[in-house]
Amino acid sequence: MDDETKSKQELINELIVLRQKVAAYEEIKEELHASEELYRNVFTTSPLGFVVWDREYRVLEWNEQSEKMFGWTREEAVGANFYDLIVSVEAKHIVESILKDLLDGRIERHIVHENITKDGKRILCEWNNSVLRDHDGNMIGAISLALDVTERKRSEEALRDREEELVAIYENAPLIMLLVDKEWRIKKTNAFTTQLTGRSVGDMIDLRCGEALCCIHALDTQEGCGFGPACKDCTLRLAAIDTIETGQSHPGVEMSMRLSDGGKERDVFFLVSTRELVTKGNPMALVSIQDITIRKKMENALRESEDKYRSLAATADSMYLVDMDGRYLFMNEGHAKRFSLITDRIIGRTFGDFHSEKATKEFMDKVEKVFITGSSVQHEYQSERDGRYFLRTFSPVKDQDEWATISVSIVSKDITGRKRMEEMLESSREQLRALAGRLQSAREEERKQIAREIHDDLGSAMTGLKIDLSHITAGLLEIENDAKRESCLHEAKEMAKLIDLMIHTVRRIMMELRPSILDDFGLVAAIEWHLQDFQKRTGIQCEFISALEEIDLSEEYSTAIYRIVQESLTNVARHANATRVTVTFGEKSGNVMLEVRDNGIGIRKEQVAGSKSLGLSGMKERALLIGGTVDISGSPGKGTTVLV
Amino acid sequence: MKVLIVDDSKIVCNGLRQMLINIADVVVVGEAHNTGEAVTAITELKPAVVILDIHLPGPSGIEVLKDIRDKKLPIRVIMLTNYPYPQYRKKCEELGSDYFIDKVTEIEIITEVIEKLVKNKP
Repeated sequence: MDDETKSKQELINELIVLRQKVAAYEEIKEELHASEELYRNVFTTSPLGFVVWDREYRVLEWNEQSEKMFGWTREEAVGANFYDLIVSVEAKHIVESILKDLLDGRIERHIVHENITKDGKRILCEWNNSVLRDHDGNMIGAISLALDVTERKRSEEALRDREEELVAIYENAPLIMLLVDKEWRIKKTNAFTTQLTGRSVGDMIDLRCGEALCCIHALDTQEGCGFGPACKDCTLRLAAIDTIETGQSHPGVEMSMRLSDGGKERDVFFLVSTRELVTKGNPMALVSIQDITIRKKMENALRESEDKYRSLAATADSMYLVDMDGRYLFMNEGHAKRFSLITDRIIGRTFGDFHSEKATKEFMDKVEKVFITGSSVQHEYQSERDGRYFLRTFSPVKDQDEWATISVSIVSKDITGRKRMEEMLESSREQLRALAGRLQSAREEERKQIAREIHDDLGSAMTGLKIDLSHITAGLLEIENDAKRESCLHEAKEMAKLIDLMIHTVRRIMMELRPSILDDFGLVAAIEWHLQDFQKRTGIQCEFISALEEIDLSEEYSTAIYRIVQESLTNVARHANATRVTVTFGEKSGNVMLEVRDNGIGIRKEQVAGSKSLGLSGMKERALLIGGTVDISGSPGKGTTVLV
Repeated sequence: MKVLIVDDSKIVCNGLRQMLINIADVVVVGEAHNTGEAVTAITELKPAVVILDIHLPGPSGIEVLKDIRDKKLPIRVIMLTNYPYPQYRKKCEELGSDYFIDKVTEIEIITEVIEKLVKNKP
């Protein structure tokens, strides 16, 4: 067995070894197969596009995903130049540089560039490239994994755009925007807030809200904003904290705050909105604050004036508002009723549309005046429609700055009742005056009568007496006894004198009662005569200045004026201690003017006002009856002036 | 000489008649008690002298004077009045009266005046 045995043994050994080898080989084959399966699975099912290519850019491997992504089938792809397959013209240079790097041995990952599909569609892919080496480590090609990131990129871009938009909004909004944490500290804020608070964004981070905004309570306690006694009611803080704790939004909460602005304090009104924002897992509140101070102040002012206006409008009979063309801007119920139209049909139309030309002109005159002067104007007028009387008050309505008049408000008060009463009063006054006048006339008539009767009768009688006396005197002359004759003649003479005296008295009384000169010659002559007589009687120098020789006045008027002169002179004689009296009589612009001036001690105001003297009040009464006035004034030394 | 007395008072008229009754060549031809009567009497009786009261019922005696002067009658007019005030005097003189006599205080003069007039009458 030497060789044979040896060889048989060798053969068996070799066989065994061979079998072992085969078994091992089988095992390896299995493993290889399994791993190949694995790789194949990966290759096939990968969501990444697998492209394996050689140094000549020829595609060696192409998986299902690549087929899907690029449209080329495996058959089409393998062996083809991938430049032609999937690289767009624009991306060529990027790809070139990648490939160059790769072939130099550098691994390039996460390269994003454009690719082109079989249909010509452009897509964006993220490539992870690694080098393919053979057993010896030589680079024979590369393995490229592609991920279609077109959508992702698009979303990213959209997201970025959106983010930019949001940031722009955030920064641009004229609102204070604060992101606060649960400790009430500002974590983020916007440009507008820096404008308002004067602090930079950086300065405000980690400040509590109140401190940042300069709330006067921010430093009430040592801990700062939120810990003071006033802070527990702070709407801003409560809203924000509630939002953080409960996630509840609080949109549109109005609140007021008092800020300390570099020493000066001012009240502000804020419109606050809070909303939960979870950032990095931490609940925060996004607080937006709109400064509505101005609006609030205006609202309050408007409401106040509205309330005032409304209460006025409710109570006033008629109240309405017009612009400078007389256009109705507002009308209350009271006034609309007068039109018996609904307000809607009136607003927008002008005053002139509803009233006559004459009435409109008068109305617009007043409106214009208010616009020009900026002050109120009033007038009484009678409605053409129903004859009722109204008192209209036109008032300016000014703009905010109280500078210009923007409309006119008219309040119209029905004064018909009052007017009627006034009319009645006036009419009864007229009647009274007329009655007084008639009484006066009657009295004067009476006087005239009495005067004449007395005068004439007595006069005649005395004439008779005188005549008889003259006869008797003639008879007496025949008395022979000288003494007796002289004595009798003397007696007769005395009698004659007495009679003359008597007639003087009678005449005087008569002239005082009713001077015939007044009736026969007129007022001027009568005054003149009266003064002459007065001078004779009292010794007071009289001067009569008359611009007119005569005046054509009714008996009533003449009498009244004469009596006033009479009375004035009587007063002068009785009280004034004067030595001169000047009476001036004239006419001025259709009115008669009479002045009695003396140079005496002067009447005092109290005396005039007292008018206990019937004379003074009588004068006034007389003047009034003929539609005139009596003005009595005096000063010591300058005397008294009675002006009619 | 014919004299007409114009006065509304009977007492005065009688009194005057009494005063003139004894004057030679003087005849009281009539009495008038108002203006109307006066004018008529003057026209009818054609007196040479008229004693004229100013105050008569109705139109004043001055109207008679006016009438006489307007008619240019050759009559002497003696105004006799109870209102001897300057205004009246002036007016009468302006209108051409010959005399202005106070009925009470100057009544005695009448006889003198009449006598004078009788003497002067042509």
